[in-house]
Amino acid sequence: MQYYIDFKSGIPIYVQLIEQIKEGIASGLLEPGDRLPTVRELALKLTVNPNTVARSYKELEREGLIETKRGVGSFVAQNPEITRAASEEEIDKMLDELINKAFQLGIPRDLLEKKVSSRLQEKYNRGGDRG
Amino acid sequence: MSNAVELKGLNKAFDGIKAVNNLSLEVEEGSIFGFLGPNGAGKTTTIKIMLGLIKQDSGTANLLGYDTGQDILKIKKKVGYVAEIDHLYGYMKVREILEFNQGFYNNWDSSLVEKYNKFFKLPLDKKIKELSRGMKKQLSLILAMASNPELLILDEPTSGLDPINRQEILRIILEEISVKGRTVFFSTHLLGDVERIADSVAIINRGRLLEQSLLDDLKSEIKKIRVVFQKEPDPDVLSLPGIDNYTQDRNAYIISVSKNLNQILKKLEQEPHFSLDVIEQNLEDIFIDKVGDDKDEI
Repeated sequence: MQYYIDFKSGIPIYVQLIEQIKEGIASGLLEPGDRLPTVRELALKLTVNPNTVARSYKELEREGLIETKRGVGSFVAQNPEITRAASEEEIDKMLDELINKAFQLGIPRDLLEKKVSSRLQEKYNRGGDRG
Repeated sequence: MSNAVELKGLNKAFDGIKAVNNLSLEVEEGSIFGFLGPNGAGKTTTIKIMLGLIKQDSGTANLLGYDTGQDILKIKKKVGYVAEIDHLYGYMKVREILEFNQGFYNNWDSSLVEKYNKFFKLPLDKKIKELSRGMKKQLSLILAMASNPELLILDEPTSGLDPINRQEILRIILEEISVKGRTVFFSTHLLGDVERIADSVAIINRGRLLEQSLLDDLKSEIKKIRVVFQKEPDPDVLSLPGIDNYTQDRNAYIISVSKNLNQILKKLEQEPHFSLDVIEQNLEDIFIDKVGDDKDEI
């Protein structure tokens, strides 16, 4: 798993890290039982504050996505539950952004609908097995 | 959790001009604190007061539980300092200044010095005045870290360095100071560096504190909202607490928010609108807004 921080972004670093780890779990890049880098390792690798990494891990632990064993390390939980509701909430947010952007660019509604459905068609016909 | 630095009502004027104006701030132990301000804002003056290099006109400065007025020697034993402008004796060789400094400290860490001399490939038998700017900064950092300080104070540690050098210095500060739970106080106008490593930041301008906050809070709270209403909005929603100001072009508004983002969004969503989106603000946006606004009050 590669971690990447966009330092120019207005999104706090700890939030960016949480999102990446969640995406890693949801996409299967991180599997149950996988060991995450230690706070120290990740902080030095990304050149970010160790307190920031620790905050991300604590939050993920609270959500039951990772487990920390003292002196051993942090691991992806055995049954990480990325709830459907949380995923949907994120997709809703991105859809809102898309719709706003389309409005600002003057793309009419029926064209946007056509574009979305043709994109979906394309992706899932190309052997996508997650539909 | 106790504070590594506590400044209360600091004032300092030079020839009647206030360099530091009623400045109070706190830095939590074990954190990395970014002290931000444009050139001439009073950052270096504040740091010099903290180190007892100049005396304040009024107010108190407390470092690691010691008052700078009474216990400056105790403070100096526990604090490492990298000055903005190099203050090293140019006629000394690198090896000589390392030996010279070692004499002042009981807890001098020779292995750390050796490690970073090798890492930076410092020429031990060259005179300091012959070193490049980057090498002088590297040497200053080694000298400041060698006494295993509980608090490391850095005045513009990365200015004038190339990006690779800057990143190296930040990484070393993290590795030697932060992961060991010690405190870093660092002044800079290079916001990208602060954005990477700081827990909390203070922004000063003309000697006065404009903002002190956890960096994550600052980024989570300070946003701009761009909204296009379908008709004149209810004037009440534009004066909700947390809205600092807004600009308007017909029914399109850009609203600056510094608090209560979610409540404000909920209210705005209830107004008939064509579009509503939140523009993220990075530290540079926030800095320029705060310092820019400050000029208008003269």
